[in-house]
Amino acid sequence: MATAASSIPVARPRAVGWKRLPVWVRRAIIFAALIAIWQAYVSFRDVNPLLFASPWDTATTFWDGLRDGTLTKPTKTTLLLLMEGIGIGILVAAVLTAFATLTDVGEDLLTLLTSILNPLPGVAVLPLAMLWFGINDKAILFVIANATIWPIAINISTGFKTANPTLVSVGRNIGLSRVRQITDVLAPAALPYAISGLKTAWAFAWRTIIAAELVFGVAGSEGGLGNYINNARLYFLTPQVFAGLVAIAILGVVFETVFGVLERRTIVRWGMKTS
Amino acid sequence: MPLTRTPTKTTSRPAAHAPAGDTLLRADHVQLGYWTPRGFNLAVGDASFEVAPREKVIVIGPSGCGKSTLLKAIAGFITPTGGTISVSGRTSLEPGPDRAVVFQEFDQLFPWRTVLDNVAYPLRVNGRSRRDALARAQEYVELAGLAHAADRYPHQLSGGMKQRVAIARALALEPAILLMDEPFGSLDAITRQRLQAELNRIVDQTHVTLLFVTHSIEEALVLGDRVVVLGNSPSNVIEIVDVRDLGGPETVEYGQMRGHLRDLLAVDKPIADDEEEEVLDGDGS
Amino acid sequence: MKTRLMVGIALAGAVLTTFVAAGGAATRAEAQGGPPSKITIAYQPGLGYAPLIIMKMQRTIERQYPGTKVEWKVLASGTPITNGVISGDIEIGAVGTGPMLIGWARGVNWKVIAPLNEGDLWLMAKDPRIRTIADLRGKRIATPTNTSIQAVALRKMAQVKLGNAHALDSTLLAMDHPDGMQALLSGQIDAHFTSPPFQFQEKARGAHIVGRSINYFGGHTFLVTVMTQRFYDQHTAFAKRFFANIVAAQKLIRTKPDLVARMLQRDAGGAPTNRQFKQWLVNPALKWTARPRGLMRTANFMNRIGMLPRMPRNWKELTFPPVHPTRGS
Repeated sequence: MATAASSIPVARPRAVGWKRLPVWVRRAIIFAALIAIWQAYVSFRDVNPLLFASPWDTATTFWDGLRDGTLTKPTKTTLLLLMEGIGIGILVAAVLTAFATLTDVGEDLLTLLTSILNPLPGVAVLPLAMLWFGINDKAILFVIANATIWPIAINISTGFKTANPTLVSVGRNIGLSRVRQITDVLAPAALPYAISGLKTAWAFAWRTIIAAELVFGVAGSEGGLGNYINNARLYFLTPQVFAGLVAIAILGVVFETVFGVLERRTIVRWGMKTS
Repeated sequence: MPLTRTPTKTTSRPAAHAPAGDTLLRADHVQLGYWTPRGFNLAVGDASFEVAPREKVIVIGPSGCGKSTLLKAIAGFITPTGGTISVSGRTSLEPGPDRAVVFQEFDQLFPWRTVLDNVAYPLRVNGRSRRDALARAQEYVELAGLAHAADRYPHQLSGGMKQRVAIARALALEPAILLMDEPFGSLDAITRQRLQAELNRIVDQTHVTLLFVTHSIEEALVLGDRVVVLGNSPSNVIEIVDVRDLGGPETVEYGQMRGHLRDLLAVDKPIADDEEEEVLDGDGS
Repeated sequence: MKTRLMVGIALAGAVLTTFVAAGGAATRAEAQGGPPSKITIAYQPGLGYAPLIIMKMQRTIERQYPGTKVEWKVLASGTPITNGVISGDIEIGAVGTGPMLIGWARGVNWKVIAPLNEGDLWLMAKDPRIRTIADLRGKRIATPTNTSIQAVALRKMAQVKLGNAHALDSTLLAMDHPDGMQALLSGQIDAHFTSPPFQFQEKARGAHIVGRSINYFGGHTFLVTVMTQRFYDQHTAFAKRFFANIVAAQKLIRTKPDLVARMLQRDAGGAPTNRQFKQWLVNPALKWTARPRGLMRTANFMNRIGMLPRMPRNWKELTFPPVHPTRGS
């Protein structure tokens, strides 16, 4: 009894502290602290505003960019291009993986292609893409698709290979065709892998598209976020550079949230991933 | 006891008590083996037996004797290297729902489907309408005593419940024969006994023909009409015994039969030491 | 828990003070007026930077200031050079007049210490159907960057010929000179607004001139070297001498192109021949003079089309005193 009584006051303070706060409060506090450090850095050190924008300047520039469309338009352009590129990437990856699962030749082909093309940084392919497709959106789409196909294909085929053999046996036992075996058993079984592949692909695609836009940003009306940032850099508009980066960060958080919801509704709900 | 004993080194003969001319499953000199990097490995040397409609036949044998391999061959997952297996007169067997299998592993349910959906889905695959499949699945989920858990996902179920869902799913397909591969092997003793009773009830209700693989003598005695005893690997059928009229575990006959089976399984060690030493993974895979 | 929270706050505070306190020390060094102990000079690949390459090859600064460590940096694009000058990593940077003006207007505390040349920049096309500026509507045109003097000149052409300075903006591409040349010759882009020697090479390989910058701006300064006011104030004598060195190098190009061609060839380490370099050096498209020219005209135009948020009062506000006696414009 004595030990129990004495252990309670020791144990309790751990529970009332940081960890007991709701997640969003903890995140908000950390976020605020980071902003405070940022602002303090700008305020107390003699920082050249041409090199480093303050949070306040960034926020107002960001807000202005939202209102007059100078930030929203390039963001939309980039996002649309990104979605299209990832879409193509997913499609090709799905076809390749299905082919690899159904045939031995396909499996060897996928292994070979993946080992050759996956290590290539997305932007490194850009000069080639420009030769093949010309200097236009198609080249960027190709580069994004190339950056997304391989992480997705690798992950899905790993998912297929590590799919529970008992489930595969059950599938055969209840009379599934090979195609339905893929769509109804292997695909959902590989979903955790597919999702993590998609996450990687998204990160790759982002990096690729921003870098590609920096390489040949289309000036004027059609430019994307990378072009927006680059232009701001050329005109020494550092707060705009920061606002562009903030836009990318926010989209990242939104994407993370969407995937969180997707995961909770699928693989977490099915007990295939602990949340 | 001698009455129910049937000497069976002679596996080519029709087994005792199999209703004449009415055989659902016939295993005829079945040989099962596979290639390893070290050479050909024989799991089952020579197995012959028959199963009549509505009969409950247990295949029992020591660990690694190839009993699970035998069941997989009947299910169509592997092809015998010798002899023939025929089910309802057909001999070349692909996996199919007429031989629905319940596996030992708990993760044989589709994690992304609810209990009801796990049972309904194979019915949909086999051509039933959505409504029909759901109604029928509901019926079998209730039969398995899982009505309250119909909307749960597999990861929310205990091991015993998962196996009951698997049984419901297999039965809903109305198979010609239900194949069960040590389905209770991973359960604790209490759950295991309860599920054995459940299975007896369900099988009696549905009149399904059952081929059940186990290494537990008690389970064989509780569930079976007849027991096919396999020896050590590479195994032969060393005896087929009738256990349907034994009475409960308290009876003398039961005790004698249990003793007899124990003797069979314990005594029948490989005679020569140069036999394959390797233990087959008859239980695991 | 209290202690853990305190530790957390203390840690955050420590991080903050480190941020705030770091640096500061570096800025105070070399307050006295002598020559710098170390100097980094940055430029891009291209013929226009020849006066700097001469200084580099002749080790001019090293001989004049034995105590100064000289580092030459060749960077592929202009942005890192401007950023380097702003952050203090680069003491003297060679940039185009466009970025120089925009930086000045946006509050970068820099001025021109020595113009490198006047340039006649050519807008090149390969498709024979593209003859005039009007043919360029909807065509893909590459310039080095969106703020380069080429992009400014293109807008001037668009304003004069098409009535709208931004008429060609939506199909403008940013490519560095070698990429742009390759893209033009392989037909990926329709026009390339570039500089020597790339415009010479493109012409030699079948492209033709659609527009020339001097026809729109008159003679104008192309490349300049810049330094910050602070560096100039600290090392005024050094800066004056640097200006004189540039003037001497320009004179050397005018008088002894053969000698300079050999130097450039040695610096390039191969590809173009001496003869090639000499031909390029004597081509009138580059005029080797330290007199700033057309700065105000360029600034005015940029200001009118919204590229320049504020105007200098006169060209002297953009240059350091050593440049002032040159009677520039």
